[in-house]
Amino acid sequence: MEVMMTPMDDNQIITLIRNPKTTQKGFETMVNQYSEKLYWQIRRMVLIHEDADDVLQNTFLKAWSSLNTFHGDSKIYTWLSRIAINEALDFLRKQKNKPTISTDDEMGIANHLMADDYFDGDETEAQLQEAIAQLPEVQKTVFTLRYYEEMKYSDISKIMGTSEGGLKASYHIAVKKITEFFKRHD
Amino acid sequence: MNEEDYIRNKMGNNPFRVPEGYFEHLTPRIMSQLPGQPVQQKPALVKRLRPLLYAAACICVAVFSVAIYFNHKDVDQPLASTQQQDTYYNDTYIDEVADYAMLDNEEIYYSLLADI
Repeated sequence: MEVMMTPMDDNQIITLIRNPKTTQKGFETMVNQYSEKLYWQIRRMVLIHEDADDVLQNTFLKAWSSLNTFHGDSKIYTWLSRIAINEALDFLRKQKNKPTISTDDEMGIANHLMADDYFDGDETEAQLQEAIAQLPEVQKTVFTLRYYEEMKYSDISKIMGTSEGGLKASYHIAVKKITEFFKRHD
Repeated sequence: MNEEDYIRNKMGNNPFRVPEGYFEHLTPRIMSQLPGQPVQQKPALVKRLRPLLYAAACICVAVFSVAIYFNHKDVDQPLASTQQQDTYYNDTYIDEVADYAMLDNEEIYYSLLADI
């Protein structure tokens, strides 16, 4: 069943959520408005569609259970992004401990993507994703949010709890590393 | 060309895709997996009263501090009349004891010097 809803602003959604009679409707509106954007944010971190789908569902489950802790002092998308990024990073940490993808093979992630049904990029694209996946967590996250979503550093700072200056430095380092990765593989 | 432009030139369009109809069915699927109503946490009233409780605690601390200060001040600086009264009582007490013990002043002085 498709859900057709008129887009609402944050204040309208928060008003619905705070009323116990309309909490579910408010949350459904939130899911409808932000799920796609959150999906892509997660997908760029975890790369595989099935994994992104799992992490996205966990994100909204966590958001639902901690709904009373959201007081409207940040944008709804910023709050959801913080949960999503934490869930994605937790997933990647757990995956790192699994022996399914070899971390010793530098091209393991790229080859895995090339074999994935839901990846349409060429080898260069796969290599780029490999380079991003190898970045430390902070650099990987700030690169994903800044480069792909062009998110403001002030919003990224609220998501990650890191200073804007630190984020700018991390982004600069991430861009440098990815550039060097491409030049090595040219 | 800066490094960011270099990367943008290397990248094409979004290489990731999703199964057909994925987003159309996403919201109902997520909603169907949610548990019951979110658990109600602390009532808003407690949160509203918290600043008042902090203010009351600060006032209590201030009152106790002032009370302790004035009490301590009285102990350090006794009134002259009280001091005189204590001296009067001490001297009177010693005189009475001395009379009772049938000791003269000279004997009292010698006994005190013996203790030094």
